[in-house]
Amino acid sequence: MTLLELDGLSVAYPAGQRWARAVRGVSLSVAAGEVVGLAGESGCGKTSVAMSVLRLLPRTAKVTGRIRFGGTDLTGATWGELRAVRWAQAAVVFQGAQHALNPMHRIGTQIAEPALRHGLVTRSAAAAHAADLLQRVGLAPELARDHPHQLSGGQRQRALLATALSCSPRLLIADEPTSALDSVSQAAILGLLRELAAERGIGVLLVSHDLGALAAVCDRIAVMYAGRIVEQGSAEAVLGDPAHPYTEALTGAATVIGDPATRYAPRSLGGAPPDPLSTAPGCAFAPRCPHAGPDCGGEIPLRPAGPGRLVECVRVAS
Amino acid sequence: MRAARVAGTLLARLTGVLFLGFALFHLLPGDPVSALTRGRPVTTEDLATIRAGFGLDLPLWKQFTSYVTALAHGDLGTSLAAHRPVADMLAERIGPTLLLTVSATVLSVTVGIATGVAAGWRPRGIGDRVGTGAAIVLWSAPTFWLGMLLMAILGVAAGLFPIAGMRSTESGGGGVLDVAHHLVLPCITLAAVQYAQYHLLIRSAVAAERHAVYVTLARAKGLPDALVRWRHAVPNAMAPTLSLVLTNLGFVVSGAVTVEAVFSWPGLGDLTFEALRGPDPPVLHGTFLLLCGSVVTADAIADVVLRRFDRRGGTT
Amino acid sequence: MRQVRRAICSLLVLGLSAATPLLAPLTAHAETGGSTLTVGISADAEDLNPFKANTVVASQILRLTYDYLTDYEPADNSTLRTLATNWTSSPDKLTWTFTLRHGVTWSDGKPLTAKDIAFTYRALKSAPADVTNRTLVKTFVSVDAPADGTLVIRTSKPTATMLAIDAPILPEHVWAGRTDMYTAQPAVPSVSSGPYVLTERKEGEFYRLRANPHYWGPAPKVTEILLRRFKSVDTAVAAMKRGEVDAIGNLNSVQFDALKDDPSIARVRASGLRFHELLLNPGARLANAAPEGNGNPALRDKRVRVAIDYAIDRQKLIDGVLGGYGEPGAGYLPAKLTPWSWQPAPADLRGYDPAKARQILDSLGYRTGPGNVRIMPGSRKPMTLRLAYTADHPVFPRYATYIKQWLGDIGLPVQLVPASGSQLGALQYRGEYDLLLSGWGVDPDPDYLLSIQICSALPLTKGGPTSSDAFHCDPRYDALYNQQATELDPAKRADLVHQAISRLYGDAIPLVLTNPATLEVYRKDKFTGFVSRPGPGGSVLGYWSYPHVRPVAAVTQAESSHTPLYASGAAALVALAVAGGLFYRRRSTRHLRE
Repeated sequence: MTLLELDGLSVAYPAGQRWARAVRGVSLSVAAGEVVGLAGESGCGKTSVAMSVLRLLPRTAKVTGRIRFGGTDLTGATWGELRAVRWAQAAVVFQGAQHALNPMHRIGTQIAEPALRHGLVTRSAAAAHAADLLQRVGLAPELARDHPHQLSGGQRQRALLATALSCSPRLLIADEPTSALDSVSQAAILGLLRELAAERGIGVLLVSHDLGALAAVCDRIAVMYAGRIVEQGSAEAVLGDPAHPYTEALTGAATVIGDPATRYAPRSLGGAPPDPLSTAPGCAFAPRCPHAGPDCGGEIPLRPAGPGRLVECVRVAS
Repeated sequence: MRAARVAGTLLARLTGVLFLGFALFHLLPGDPVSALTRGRPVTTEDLATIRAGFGLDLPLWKQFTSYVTALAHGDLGTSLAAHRPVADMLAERIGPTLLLTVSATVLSVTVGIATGVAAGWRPRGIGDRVGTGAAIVLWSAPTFWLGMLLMAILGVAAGLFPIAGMRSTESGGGGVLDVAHHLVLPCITLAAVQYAQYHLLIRSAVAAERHAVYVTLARAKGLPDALVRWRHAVPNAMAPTLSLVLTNLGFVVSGAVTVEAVFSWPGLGDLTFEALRGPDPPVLHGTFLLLCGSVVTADAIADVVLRRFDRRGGTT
Repeated sequence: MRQVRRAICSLLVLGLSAATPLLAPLTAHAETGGSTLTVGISADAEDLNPFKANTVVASQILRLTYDYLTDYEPADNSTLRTLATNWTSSPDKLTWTFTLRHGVTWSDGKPLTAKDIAFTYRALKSAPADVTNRTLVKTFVSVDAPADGTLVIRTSKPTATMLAIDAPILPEHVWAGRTDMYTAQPAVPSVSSGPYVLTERKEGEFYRLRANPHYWGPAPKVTEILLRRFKSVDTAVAAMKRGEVDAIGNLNSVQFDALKDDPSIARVRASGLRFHELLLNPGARLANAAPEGNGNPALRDKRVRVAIDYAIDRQKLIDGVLGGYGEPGAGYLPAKLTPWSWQPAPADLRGYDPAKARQILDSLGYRTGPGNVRIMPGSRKPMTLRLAYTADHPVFPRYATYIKQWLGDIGLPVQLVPASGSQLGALQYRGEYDLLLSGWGVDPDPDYLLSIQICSALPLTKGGPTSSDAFHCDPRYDALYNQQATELDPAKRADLVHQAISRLYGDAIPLVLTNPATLEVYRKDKFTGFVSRPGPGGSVLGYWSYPHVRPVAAVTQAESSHTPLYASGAAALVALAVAGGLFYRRRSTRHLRE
């Protein structure tokens, strides 16, 4: 069953008189029990995609296209409808656990808050609920009484995951949940996500720059570059036999776990990602592409390249 | 360890205040005795006797030692005008001043937070423009003028509130409600002038908090806007406000000279003002020590409290 | 959110419901009965110790609560028989015998006798130096009470001021034997014998005086006098319009003019018993004639000082600084101070005549150098004169601006030296000024103001204190002063005083600039019967007046005080409604929030 369906999603932010187009027509779906990876460099628009699902983007952002969740169209939803979907149906594990937890509140309060506010637990049961969730993510229930600054980075990330599970959502959007963590913690978090998908049928949209991490847990992977999905397909296919030159570059370079440098640019790639203000037609990757030819300046169609596989490159025969 | 350092700093600063106080009031030009006796029928011989009585003919270092010894005994000297111990005079004036300034601070913090949060949550919105505009206009309005205006409208024209003093002069005046009734106009005036600083501070802090990840998280949790604002954004925006409130508490003692003058409020500001007119150096000196002492102390308290409050200053 | 709204809610309720106690005044009024005259005052009494008190407010309170041996007739300054009903002095003029009024009692019912007066004067005589009133009894050798109704005072030399002993008479049974006699404050209620008793004292707020039921004289018409402190006259005026204050003294001309059209307010322009003066440093000297200070040597020449006097346009000062409310000054004491005042004959008056001023300076050899600046003969340095004044009082800086202009016009540039009150005092007694602005209030008896111009008031040591006002020292003036001080015949004494003042005028050391009027207002729709001093056109707000003041009519008063009451009641209702609305809103949304 398809949980989330993005269709031609575009996001633009005002930049002076012009618009910076962070996402340019992304189509992607996540089914129940499926882990979908969204890969790409920093600034490619993957966080904008993740945030647009629950309409958490700044008020000034312009969102077009369709976001369907469990059959309802969220693009036209009222704030009330949206609030009902938020967390009860779909939850977010935010990037940078260090800043995502409110420094003023106790961990337990923050974890139980959504369930309490959505009327899923009573005030008296909230503490037990928080303890239960902490245990589920592998933390000691006593941590509920602590404030965020008393926790380690890994603990905070797990606490954030526990928060996301507070209302037993159907969809989990995890934005870089493992960045800045040691490899042991990384593996544990990823394992938890995999488990949730497999045992509870939760759909997971896992956003990461780290192809290695994605490879470990994802059923399918979509690769983003400059606001567009340039390639998507099953994890083995995309990673094992990249069709797009960008994916190729990523797979060749990006698997150094814990090395922050790889987050910003695959080593084998020269040059820099294009200016989001640019409105030039054609393949955005062409200036950095070793295979770039004269055809790359024209309209590039998204072409199927095998079962469930789409690639946006002139080199792929239709 | 930290407490010891704070206490040490406090002690050093208080000592500085002590020296400064002595220097200011003993080395300044002018002669208290001639000021004291101007227009009184005294003979030249009497003047010499009075001067000696004040110890003004002693060498400076002797004046300083007797000054420190007296201070250690809680003796702030004797007023030249009232011939009473300065400590007693300060004691009877500090109550009314604290009543006025603390209530005005509570009011201005409350109003400043309410309007500042509203303005900061939607910067450049209509509420922000109106609220911030009003705060700045009131802030820049001369206190004297604002007080006279409120007095003319609410006091004289509408006849709602008394315009002077802190209690009715009819016998039996001075009950809690009577004093509260008298407090209204001075308190509103002082708060109207002061709340802008809290408004502006809260406004910018809240405007910054809007973009904090945990605020987005709170919104993602499906919380209503009011809860996102008051439970998640505002408490984190409070740290600078708390620090301003605590620092300002030191100045609370100095009173509000202008407001006290406009509404004839019998506080320390008035005492200082009268002592300046005299001049009455012992009283001025007393108010100086009290003011500086409380500012320095409030600063130390702010230091301790803020560290407890601001958890982001913890590990990492 | 809820907490904040709740806080705002309760603040609103507290704030506006505070409007309701306006009810309180009415009930309180009904209990006490009688009428209250509320007088706005602009300073505190500070110290009410009867020996030491020296502020204006304190002396008013003491005069209203205590009796003095004698007082002054408001109409003409003649002696008023208060405690003393009769007196004689011995042929050698050294022994005075006073016959005292019968049946005077203290407010605690005990009789007031000659013993109380003797006790008071002896205590004053043995007071420490800082009890400045002790100069009143400095010639006393003994004070005796041979009978309850007889007081005998022996003096070391004839004393002209025996009928001007301005010290309150204290009850011996209350004050005797106290170690803190010279600092203690009167008990509240005070034990005193005057028309009123001090019944409440709130420093910085008000002083309440209630009529003394034991008073020997006619019972005061107003049963309570409330001296109420206002820190700004503007506030006091606003309070007067609200009906909270009945009389205010010491308005400035702007405040006074603004009340011109108010039908309920009477305005009194009282010719003032005070003067503003310009002191010219005549070459300050110590008592032993050693030079002191650093006054400009040019001013040692009386003719230069006279020239300066001609350059001053007094009418302009009155119009420009006093808003027209004042009289030009000439003789040392104000013209109103009969019988002591002396004023120059029109022919001798140094009126405004800058041409004459220039002519005098020219004739003295003060030639004009570059930029119209004169140069002192025998010197090459252009003249400048330093003018010191206090900026604490608004009129002095404005006087200074005019004087700078006028002296500049005759070639004597002026450098302004603004100073604080105590700095100015220091400059003055050290003689470190050329020109200095000062001012005095005048007592009914002229002795003290005359004494500050005698040679023995000069400082004894360099930088030492002095009671001399302007380093004036003239042996012939001193002789006249000493004569008047021992002359018991008022007419002869007045003549001696006139001669002394005339010499002082000739020396042109203190130049009296103006006699500023005292501007007073009172609610004429509420009170009447004010007594003016001195004579018609004098001040009506003072101890001599209050006991004679009576309410106009009780009916009109009661009505006017009702109006604000209704308004405040309505406001309180509105406040409750608004607060209730907030509360209701809070309740109705409760479910959603929780």
